[in-house]
Amino acid sequence: MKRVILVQSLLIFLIAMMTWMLFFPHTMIWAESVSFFSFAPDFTELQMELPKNIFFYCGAFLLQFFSSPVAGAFIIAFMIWIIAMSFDVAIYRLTKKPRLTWFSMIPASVGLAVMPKYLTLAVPVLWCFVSLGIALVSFLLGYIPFFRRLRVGKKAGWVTYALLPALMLALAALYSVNRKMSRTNERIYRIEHLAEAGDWYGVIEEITPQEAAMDPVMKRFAMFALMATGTLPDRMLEYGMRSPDDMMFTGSKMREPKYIDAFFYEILGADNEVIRKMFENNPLSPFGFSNRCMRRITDAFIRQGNTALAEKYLSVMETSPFKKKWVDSRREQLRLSEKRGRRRNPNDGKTLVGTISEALVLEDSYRLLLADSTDRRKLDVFLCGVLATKDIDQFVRTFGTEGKNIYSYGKKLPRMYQEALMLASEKTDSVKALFVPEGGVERDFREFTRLRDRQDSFGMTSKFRNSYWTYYYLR
Amino acid sequence: MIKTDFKGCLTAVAGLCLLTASCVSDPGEVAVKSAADAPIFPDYRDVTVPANIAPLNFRVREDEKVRDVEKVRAVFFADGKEELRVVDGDGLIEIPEKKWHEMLDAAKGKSLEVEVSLWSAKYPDGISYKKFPIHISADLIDPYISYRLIEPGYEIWDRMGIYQRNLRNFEEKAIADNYVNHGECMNCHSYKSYSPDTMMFHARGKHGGTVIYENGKLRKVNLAGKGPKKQGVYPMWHPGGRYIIFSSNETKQAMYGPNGCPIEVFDFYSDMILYDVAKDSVIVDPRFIGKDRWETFPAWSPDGRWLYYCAADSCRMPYDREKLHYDIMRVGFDPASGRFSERIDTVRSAAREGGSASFPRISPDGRFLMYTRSDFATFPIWHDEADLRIIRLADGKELDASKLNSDLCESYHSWSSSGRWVVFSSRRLDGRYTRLFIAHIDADGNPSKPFLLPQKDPEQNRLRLKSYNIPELMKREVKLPEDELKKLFQ
Repeated sequence: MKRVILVQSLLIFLIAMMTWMLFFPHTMIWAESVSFFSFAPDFTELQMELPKNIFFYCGAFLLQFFSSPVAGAFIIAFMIWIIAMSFDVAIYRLTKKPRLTWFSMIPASVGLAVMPKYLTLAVPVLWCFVSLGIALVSFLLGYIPFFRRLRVGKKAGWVTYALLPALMLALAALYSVNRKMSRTNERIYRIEHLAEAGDWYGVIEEITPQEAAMDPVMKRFAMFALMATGTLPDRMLEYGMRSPDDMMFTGSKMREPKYIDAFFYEILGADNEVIRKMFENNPLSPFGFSNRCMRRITDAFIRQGNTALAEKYLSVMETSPFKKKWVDSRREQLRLSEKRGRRRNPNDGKTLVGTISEALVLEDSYRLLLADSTDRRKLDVFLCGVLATKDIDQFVRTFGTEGKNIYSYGKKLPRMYQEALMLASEKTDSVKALFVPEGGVERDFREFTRLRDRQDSFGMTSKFRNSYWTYYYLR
Repeated sequence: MIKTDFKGCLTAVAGLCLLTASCVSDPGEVAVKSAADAPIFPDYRDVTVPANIAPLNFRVREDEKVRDVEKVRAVFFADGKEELRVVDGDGLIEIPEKKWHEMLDAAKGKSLEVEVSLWSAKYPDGISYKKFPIHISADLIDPYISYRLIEPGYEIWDRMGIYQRNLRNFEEKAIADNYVNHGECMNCHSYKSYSPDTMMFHARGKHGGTVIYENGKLRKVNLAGKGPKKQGVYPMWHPGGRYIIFSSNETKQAMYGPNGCPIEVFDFYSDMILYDVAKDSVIVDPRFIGKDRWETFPAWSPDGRWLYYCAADSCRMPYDREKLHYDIMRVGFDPASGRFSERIDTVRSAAREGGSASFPRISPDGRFLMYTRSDFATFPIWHDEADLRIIRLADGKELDASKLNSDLCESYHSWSSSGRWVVFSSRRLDGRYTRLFIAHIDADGNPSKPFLLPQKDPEQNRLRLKSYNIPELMKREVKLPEDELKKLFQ
């Protein structure tokens, strides 16, 4: 029996840990980030009421370790091991047949297969308690004379204690890894973590234009990456942008879209809106708070130089075990931020964003641009959004005012803007005075207009596939 | 039930730990005597407190000068004689409740003096600070306060509720939390003359309505289904008990993007309606439901013969928000007929005095009006410049209320039943999370330095992630029938 337990244990830890570490590392980090555990009174009371049972509280405690994929994988393996061993105890106590112990791999394998669905860990924790309960009851029942009189059966062969368990666990692992949703989520979480780290070049390397065109989440992240790297006008069409709403999940009240939308405002320096989205995201977490929201709120307050509130959140985070390193690093940043002083732009108190428009992306980016007309990112978001709606007139108006400030003094004008200005110049000749055509755009435009006038869609698409002209006329 | 039991267990365990922690030996004489003010949080130096307030527990406030505190000691003197000595190893001075109340009872009308000393890495042999007084008023405060606990601002919440706190100790209980109405919003509680036996609050969402508790019975009223079909928002119960005045507001939020003030909350319109509790009907005065003028924050005089409210000419919101300035108006009221008088007076003119007024509240003796002044608009809690002001009604003179105010927002306020205390909301601690302060007001309307609502551990002010909203004092504990309350929302 000892051999059975040893081999089963090795198999469980090996297969479960390898599965999670190789295939779901970002899923584990994400699970930690959407959870929250703290000894602060508000949180403790909330947990005792909110999710209705103690298992969420236990799950929240365990999830703290998931910021390290190794620790997270170990905990998952450990929970599956508890289930397996509990059933081993039950089977052996009630049958005395070591050859039947492979049955314990059934609940263990099921647990491994479906674990990605239960990332609050409440259900796995419950299973563990139930399994332990079954083991305890079986152990006690084993003292009943009927069960005591049973003779110990033959030893389990290698097929029973090694091959079958390995096959079952491997199949379970294969199932969990091949679930489309799990794979997709792992990818999204990986990109989200790159975004949280501010590695926007990393994000754009990860997402292909084809992927962005098919997946709304990927598209938004791609747009944010283009915004952050200053390449939005150069690549927005390549990445399938067709509307300003491609830059945000406008109006969504769901947790993940709200969380993702905050990147839009973070890139544009609208920290109050970032804080608001994180505030509203917290109650949408099953735990009432989430680490990722608390961190982003804290970081936003640090960027704002708001010492009192940053310190408040750091104090709350400190009541979470295992957050000391993060808190210390942020305290250091706060000290530096204090020396810089609180950021104030005289237009801060005038710039309203967030809730008062149907055309949220255009309205907000325009207001933010008016508050800070030297910021190229804000200008690009607005101009690209306007071009996506094919409102050439608005584009020319804004380019002619705010655009001239930013794209002057020898700054290279993005090709798409030149293309839009060439289009506009067909209607109004004076537009040509706004820019100096470069890179053969005049020649290309002449060729395009020939194709256009001949209604040669194939020619337009094949020769000017990613041009604004094709977008304007054919998309 | 789970919450109460769990809290009880936690309190017991915490108490045991604290008892153990506080059993720290008194290190004896201090080596350094400083003339500096004691670095404590909250700042209870020179405050005036009622004799029935909970212990003013405080912590040493650590900063660049005060670090790594190993021990702290507070010695309380009455009439120059040492009354109590508390020593702690964690920076928290937790005053034993029984001894505290004995001291306060003995010191009514007089002052206690407190000497704080600490031992730290910088002062291994100790440093003591200048003694500071705590004045004990003979005026008692109403023993309970209720408030809503909610995350500050925005549009999504999870748990919220209306809670009550026993001011003599640290006990906090839910009056109603949004567990009963399926997680929806609860707000705007109001009592008839500080009585917990006659109260109301709104519960929004599906199966929502205005919950009225009267004569031991709960009922739910759908104000939007009566009369002019307007929803009631800010309420105030008529002192006679027959009426509740409501403003009816369509309130929106807009966000400031970059930095600074995060939100502007504003009304697209507001009117006033009068609910007759006895007849279950809504009375409307056409002057208060027009489009050209917005009326809000109604408040009765203590004799119920006047209605005070804020009013402003309508404008385009939110774009013209800086042009929106509310006056304080007054109209007579006849409780027998439920009618308002023809004449409407302007008590405070925004055009003349500047700024915008909110929350007019008349003292129980009818002599003073306290309101909140902000630069513009109608939701001062998000305005750092918002301050409390006091008008003496006899001659309209504005008194000096500067002691109540800070650099950050002071907003909602309410008088005690005796008129000698006021409790108000302030964001002075961090600019975002509203905390409650209590101040004594003497017979001439002069305020004393306010003090922060005491907590068992003042660190709770920092760790609590909810704001205190709409503080109202009550004469006794509210006891709503829980089962009946749940049934209202099924």
